[in-house]
Amino acid sequence: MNRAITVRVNGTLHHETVDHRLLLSDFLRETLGLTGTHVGCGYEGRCGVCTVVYEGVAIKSCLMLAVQADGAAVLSVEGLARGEELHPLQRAMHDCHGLQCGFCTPGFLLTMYEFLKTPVSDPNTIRAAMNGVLCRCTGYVHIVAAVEQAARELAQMDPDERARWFPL
Amino acid sequence: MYPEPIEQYFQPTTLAAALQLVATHGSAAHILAGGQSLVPALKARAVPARALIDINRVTELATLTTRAGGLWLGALLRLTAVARDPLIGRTASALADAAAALGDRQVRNRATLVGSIVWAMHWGDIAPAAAALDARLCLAGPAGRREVGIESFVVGPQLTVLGAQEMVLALLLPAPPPHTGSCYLKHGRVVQDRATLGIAVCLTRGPEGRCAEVRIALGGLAQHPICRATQIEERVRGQIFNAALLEDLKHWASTTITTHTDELASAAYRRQLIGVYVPRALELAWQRSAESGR
Repeated sequence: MNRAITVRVNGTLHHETVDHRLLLSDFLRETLGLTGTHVGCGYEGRCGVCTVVYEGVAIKSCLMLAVQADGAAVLSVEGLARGEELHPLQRAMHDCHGLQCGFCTPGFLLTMYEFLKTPVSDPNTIRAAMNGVLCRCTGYVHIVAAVEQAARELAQMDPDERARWFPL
Repeated sequence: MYPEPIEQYFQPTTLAAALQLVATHGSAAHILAGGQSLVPALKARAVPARALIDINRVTELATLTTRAGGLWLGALLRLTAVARDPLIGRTASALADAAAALGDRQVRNRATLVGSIVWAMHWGDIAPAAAALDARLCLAGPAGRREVGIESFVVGPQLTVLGAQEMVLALLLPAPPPHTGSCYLKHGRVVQDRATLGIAVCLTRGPEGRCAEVRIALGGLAQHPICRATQIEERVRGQIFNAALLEDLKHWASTTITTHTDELASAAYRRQLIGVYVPRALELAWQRSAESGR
């Protein structure tokens, strides 16, 4: 009941043999040791904290099996920064105080990463895009402000420079 | 909880291979498309996990094409794609509305249109919208292909006529007559929750400001994932569409539909919702019918 898979995570190819029932979230956390992807709701798919970018779109990694990701590319929170330089969205979360305990933050970052590929700074559009992630500290206001700031910054960037922040 | 050990996992890349696997494994296997209902069900151990047939690589099923003026929506079309597609938005607004109303962004990125219909949950958004648009499903199995109207396909809550050796290839939408408009509206406790009540309307304008044809399907009601409101349809069909008609429906519509009480709402609250949403959805579909298409 095992299968050998190859998955590109944050640009690096990983060859692993996994149990059919292993969830993608646990593949990232347990098999690869990338514990930035959190699991908040006990694998029910409700909290959105385990969101990663899979083949370019935001998905809940606890609602996918690792075997499904064979041959695919995944971006997790560990892949957002360029070396020491934070992603504009990460920096905006810091600037706007978009986190308190930080547990849900990877989920917001990866969900809004996909949203910001076409940067829109309208707060209602932002709120609608992020209602699949739950936060129990911030009341969301500062997270929305952070996404607004990141959207404005990204919109002003040269398109080539902006594309470099969206490798997947 | 965690899924039980999954004995076999298949990843076919062609439709022929997928159909062969479904025919061979029958009821022992589950077809894995978006997985947004199946994976939670596997975790809850509500369904056995003997074999999974993952159809995500069957690219033939991920297509949206026009056929005989209507639309062929492949079984792998994700809700995000359906909600954003300009052709669906123009000619089948109710389906675009329903796709946008289901779940959250991450779920819509994975979940499929057809998967939601096949699960046939009574709070589903897609089935009532597809029923208002008079959709059909194309099924394939060892005996070949067959087409079934969606109201015959969905027999009851979590019950369809899909055979153990069959799979759904696509949802088919007929070409809308001119001056047709449709919409889907949903009431949930919070945005994009399960539907406490869902309503889909598709209507066609006739001469002299009359409603020539109308189909209304309700969701969120325990008796069936698709509740056709035929009595309300009869009250509207052929009538002059004006404020007086809608006002009349506000008081009358809720008396014609059986509602239920559950943890989301009481039967009385649902009746009140029907009185509010029937005129509201009719009015929106009427406005859209002015822009032709539907």
